[in-house]
Amino acid sequence: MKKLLLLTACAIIGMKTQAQQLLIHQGSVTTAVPMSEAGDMFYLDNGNTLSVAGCSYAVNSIDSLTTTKAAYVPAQVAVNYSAQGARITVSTDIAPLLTIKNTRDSVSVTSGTDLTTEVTYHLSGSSSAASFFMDGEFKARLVLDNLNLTSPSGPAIDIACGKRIDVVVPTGTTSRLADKAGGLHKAAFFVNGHPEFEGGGTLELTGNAKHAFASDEYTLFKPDFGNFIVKKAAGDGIHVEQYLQVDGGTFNIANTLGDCIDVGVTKDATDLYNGQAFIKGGTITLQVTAEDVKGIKADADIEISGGQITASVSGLGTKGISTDKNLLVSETAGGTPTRINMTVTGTTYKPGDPLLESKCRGIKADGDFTFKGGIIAISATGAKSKAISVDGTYYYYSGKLDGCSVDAGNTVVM
Amino acid sequence: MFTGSVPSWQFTQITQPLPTGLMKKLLLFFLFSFPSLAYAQSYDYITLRQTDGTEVSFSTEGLKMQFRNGNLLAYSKADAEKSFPLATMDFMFFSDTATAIERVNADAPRIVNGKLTGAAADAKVFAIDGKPANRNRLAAGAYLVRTQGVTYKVLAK
Repeated sequence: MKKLLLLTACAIIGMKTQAQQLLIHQGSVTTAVPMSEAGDMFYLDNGNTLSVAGCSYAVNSIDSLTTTKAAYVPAQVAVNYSAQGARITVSTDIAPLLTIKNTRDSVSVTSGTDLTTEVTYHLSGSSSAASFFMDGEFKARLVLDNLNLTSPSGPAIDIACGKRIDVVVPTGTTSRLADKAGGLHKAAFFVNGHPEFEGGGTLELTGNAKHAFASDEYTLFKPDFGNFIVKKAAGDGIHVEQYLQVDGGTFNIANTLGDCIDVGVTKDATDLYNGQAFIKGGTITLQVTAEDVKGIKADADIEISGGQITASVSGLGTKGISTDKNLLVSETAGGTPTRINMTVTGTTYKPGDPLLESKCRGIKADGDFTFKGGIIAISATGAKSKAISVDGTYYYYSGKLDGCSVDAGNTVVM
Repeated sequence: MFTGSVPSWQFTQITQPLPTGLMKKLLLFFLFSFPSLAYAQSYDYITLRQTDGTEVSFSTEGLKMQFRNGNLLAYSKADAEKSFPLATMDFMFFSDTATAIERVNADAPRIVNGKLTGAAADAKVFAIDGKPANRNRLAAGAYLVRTQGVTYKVLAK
């Protein structure tokens, strides 16, 4: 108690509060300046230029100056969408380093190498015809705060910076993203970089053109992540390159014309865990209904060491889980129990076709399957379907197969 | 921002074990006194200084300033609108009182032979367009020098 008391006192005394701001309004963009850092604001050039905290503003570009007692958040770009267009508030510490464009249907924020601060992009509000684009050379934080965004073209959110992107979906919020059908873009929500999802809220995606979500580097869902819903995808629900790691979260993926989750390899064969999927926790529910697609597909190894995967595998030639390499199913002591439940009702896709014929499987491993814990329960009732099909060797250590068996070229009981 | 010093008794009095109930009360005291600490230094006014030294203060509550036809128009919840020719404006600053403070510029930095003098080593120099400038290679013109929380307008001749 004494330590807590002292820590609280120190925290309060040491806290630097910036609760008052000067707001400089220029069109749809507002620059926020903490009053404590405004200093002397000089009028220069015969009064035609106003200098505030090291930034110069042509006075004829300023609509107004106002004040607020709202807390100042440094290194933040806040975008609030509405039917009338987006309003953007940027903190003065990063404002000179950003190029912000706000058209009727798109907000674009770009930066160069001189930005070496992690910027938080806080997106909120609703628009049925707007999008967000960000590019830069530094990692960033993206907060989706009850954002409802449908793009008029391209992705609803397009992050192009290629760095680590924290995607925060705050607890108690629901954000919905959708893109317009058509176009060559990859997804309704695209990240060129490696996104790390956190926060207990809900993110709901509709991919009308191709994938619902796509990233071209590893993607991580942290243990505290909330809900990830794919309502529809013209391609994959989640399309990730390099590797996917699910530590937590509840996933509901349905109505995809491609795979529910697809992990592919990058062009650089030396990339870490290239093409692999790691499921360590969470609850994943998949509706595998289209023809010849997969619930979880990886170009390389799949490791499932915790969490619950439930799949309805009903499309012709579909697979619940499919890997081009090896599959490991295990259970981590003290971790989330591993449970895989599937109903496989699909039949064969293009039967008799020498190239395209594909049979329905609950689990399909082109390489080996190692079973080291957990429970796998698969009901395979579709004509010529199988619960588990392994081209390589099936290594059994422990775990329970409930109502199903493994069809493997070779079986080794350890 | 709270910048005042903290009485040492607040810590020295907690050297002996205190009853849990009293500790909880102290903790609650700190927690609920936080807002008053946070607003201990409140920028309640903005003061506009003109080139002739005239200063006028406005409350920052409901403050709105606009630029129209070469004039600065300002009003707040407590202050009626006033107009100032932009050409006569020197600078403005936030403060916790409406009383204009006489600026003592004896310690202001200067530019001598293109070099900044009289400023801390970490002073930042900006051209009037906001771009950083080299403090040792300053051509003739006006510059803003920010040092130790104060910004000065300095001329290089």
